[in-house]
Amino acid sequence: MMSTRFSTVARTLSGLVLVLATLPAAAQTKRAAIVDESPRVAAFTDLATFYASLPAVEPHPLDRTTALQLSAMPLACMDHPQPRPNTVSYLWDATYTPVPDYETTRAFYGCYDWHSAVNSAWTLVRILKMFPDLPTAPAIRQKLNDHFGATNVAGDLEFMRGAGTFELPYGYAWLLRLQYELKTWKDSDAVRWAANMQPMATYMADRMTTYLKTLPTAVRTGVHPNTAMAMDNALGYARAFDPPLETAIREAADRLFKRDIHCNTAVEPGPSDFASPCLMEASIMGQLMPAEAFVPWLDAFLPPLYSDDFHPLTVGLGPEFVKNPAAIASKSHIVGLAFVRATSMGELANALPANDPRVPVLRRLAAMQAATGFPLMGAVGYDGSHYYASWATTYLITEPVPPHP
Amino acid sequence: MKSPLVSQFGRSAVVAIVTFASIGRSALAQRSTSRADSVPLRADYRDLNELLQKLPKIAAPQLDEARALWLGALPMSCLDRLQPRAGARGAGRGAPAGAGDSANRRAGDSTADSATRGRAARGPAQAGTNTGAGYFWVPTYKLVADHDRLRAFWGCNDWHSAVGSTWATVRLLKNYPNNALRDLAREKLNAHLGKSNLDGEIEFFRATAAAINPIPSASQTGLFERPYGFAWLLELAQELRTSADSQSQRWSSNVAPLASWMADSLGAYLTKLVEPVRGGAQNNTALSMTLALDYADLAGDGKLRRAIVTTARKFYLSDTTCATQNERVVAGGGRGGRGGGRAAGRGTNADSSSRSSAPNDLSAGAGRGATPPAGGGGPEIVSPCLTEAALMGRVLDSRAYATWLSNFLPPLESGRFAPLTEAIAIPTSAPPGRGGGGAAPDTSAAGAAAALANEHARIAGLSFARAQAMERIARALPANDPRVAALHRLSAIQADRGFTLLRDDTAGMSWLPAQALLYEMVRQ
Repeated sequence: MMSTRFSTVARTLSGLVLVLATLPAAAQTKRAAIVDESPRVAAFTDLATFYASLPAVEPHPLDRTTALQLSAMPLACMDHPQPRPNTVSYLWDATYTPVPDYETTRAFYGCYDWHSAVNSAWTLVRILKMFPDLPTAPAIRQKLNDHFGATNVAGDLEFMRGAGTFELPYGYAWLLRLQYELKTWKDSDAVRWAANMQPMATYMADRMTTYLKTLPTAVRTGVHPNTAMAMDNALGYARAFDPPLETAIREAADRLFKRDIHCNTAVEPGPSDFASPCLMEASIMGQLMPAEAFVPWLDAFLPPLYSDDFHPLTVGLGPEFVKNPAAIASKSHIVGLAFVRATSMGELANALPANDPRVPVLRRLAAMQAATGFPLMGAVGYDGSHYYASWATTYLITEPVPPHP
Repeated sequence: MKSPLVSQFGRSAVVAIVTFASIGRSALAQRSTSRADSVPLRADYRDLNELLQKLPKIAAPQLDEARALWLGALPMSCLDRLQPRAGARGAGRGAPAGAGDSANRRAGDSTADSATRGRAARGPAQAGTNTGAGYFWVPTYKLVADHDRLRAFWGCNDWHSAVGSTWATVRLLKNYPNNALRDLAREKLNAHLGKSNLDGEIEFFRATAAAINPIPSASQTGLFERPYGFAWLLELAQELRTSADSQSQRWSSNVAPLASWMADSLGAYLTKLVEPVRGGAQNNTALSMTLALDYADLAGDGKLRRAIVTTARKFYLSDTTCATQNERVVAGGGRGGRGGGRAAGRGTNADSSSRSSAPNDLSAGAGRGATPPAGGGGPEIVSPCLTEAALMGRVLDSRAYATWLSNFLPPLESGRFAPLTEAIAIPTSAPPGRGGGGAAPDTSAAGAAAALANEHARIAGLSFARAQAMERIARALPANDPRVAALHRLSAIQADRGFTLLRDDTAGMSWLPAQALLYEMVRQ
């Protein structure tokens, strides 16, 4: 997993972080201790100079090797049961047993938690669609068949109906992303799986619609409840199959995001963030607004890519972080952040007009982020391996390069 | 739960306050019963004098011995009632969170839920339930071994209410050492505050802290009872520290190690906190900081005090124009009602009265919406604006505070402050089901009655909390500040409503007496 190619890139980046570290500014104190805190030595005043200063990191190729790696990780976790609740009893001692017949009454019981099981399944589906003759294809089909049976999904739906806000909105949105892939796949297995999944997708799309309509304010954290992230994951399904949900997403974006200016990049990343709230919001608005309206909105919302103010969205895994396994193990989100930021940057590049000068810069910054993540995909153990492949895949499919089977 | 002794004292206590309560009742009868949200904010009064003229002439309730016995009897009636097991339908009587089914299910009945029974019995989840319990791992519960020897705060519905009720019992004993319930109080405190009980507590908390997954997850809720329960434990510790008799001193030394551990833990938590919880639920950050300051000052814990003061200045010093107009409590739910939805957003403290198309500038002090919008920490039991103002009164010197307060709270005589000048209307029907969670509300008659009782308890708690905060604010201002007299009167109005509701309470007895006594403590 840690090829030498990646280590080289990581080393280059480590050097870059030091070079980039300019900023005499004060607002750095809020950042997590693990991000690079050293002062920057040269500020940039225009995009071209900034772009020229960036290392020539190529986007990670989405080839068969990568596809194998990305499919192996979810394959390895789909049947790994969610951890037994690890709490100390205050008054009532709990003894835990698996729910009876879980193999036929539950669909997403692996990969650490429900939403990670869903996005792992999505990863398998997406990889198999792009690489149908992958040597792991039979294993993938078997795994999906086991988990997407009619009784499995029906059991999940019954549970979810009684589970309040559990997994709303993050897990719900991932389920919709999964169902979008299934429904747009001309494959006899996928047709059957999609039919099994549809009642739950319909239920979750309806709940999402109500949720977005009644949300009083946007959640702007860099973790699961982030509103923009949920809208992003649900958008494909909504556009293709659920007009009321699409309307709800659009109205929520108008109501919650459209007037926003000056995104507060100085507080990113928060200590547990695996996503950039500013980039997430920019990305979803880029997908919803027409380009002529989006560009001025973005100009008012995000600081220029070359500015000191944007810098917090590009720093991440400094050299001392990579050297400190203890810090990695307790901070799996910071590796995930690299992939999720790369995803947002890639989506943002796709949303801008092709001739916008920011497009190549965003793609480069995305590639740099991802290049810090790939060598670390196995470095934090199961805390990371149960979900990194999903976000690595979402990043890779933002790249305009067609896959090379 | 109802020993004959307690009931007897409870009854005589109730008789003793009927006179007082009837005053509250007649005042209530004259009030308009129209829904609060259909009434626009009243016009500004000219000045504080006009406000004082218009306010009802209500004197602050006095804590005579009869009332003290009443407030002492209730906590002692719950201290030995087992907390319900996790996930039990209905958190039992007196849960401030107002569980849907509080129909007298004794926690002890549920010791033998089999896996299948647990599944079949699982009804619609409460709003805010987001742990996914039972999806894969199905629990079976039994009582921990030697709970009455190895735990101290295992009654009164939940840990922080048990601590609060213990504190109330200590308070009663301290202020009325010769009261008629003194022996019962000592019996209870001896049984709960023994050395083995507190040693078990600290062992439990150490193990709990060690078991927390360092990886944040969607369902992780942080360290058990931090910050609110920790703050109450510190309040209990400071009360014991200042009790003179030898028995109290023994209890105090038993509690001290846990208090010291929690003070350190709370200080570390506050220092790392990215942004405060500003809603009106019990997880409000300023609320816990104020309670913890009571301890830090008395125990001479300079480290905790510094952590609180630094955090408070960082979060609150530049706040202005708190949206008191949003704190009107609407009968039957709605804004200021259940769910803490208002806690979710950024800029809760900004003046949100202008809903315009003006740009929404995220650069300045914008919160990130840390609390998920649905079920953000439970029902509203404090005033966000007053709670923050009460805390800052302990952080700033009185002159600086007077200036800060002028920028933060709207003028007391203004229409925008009006919601906090009125006693909260007492609803006559149950609030609608809590929104957001998608759970089906319990529509049975018993369910509706329980929901109404919970709502009355919530309003009583909110009234006491407002009264307490107003007293704290008044005491922090310079003595000659013209707002002081008005705040005392406003505080009395709120406290009066609290006691009126407490008289008929069936749902809040595990936590309301402590709230009432906290108000009394601040007044002394």
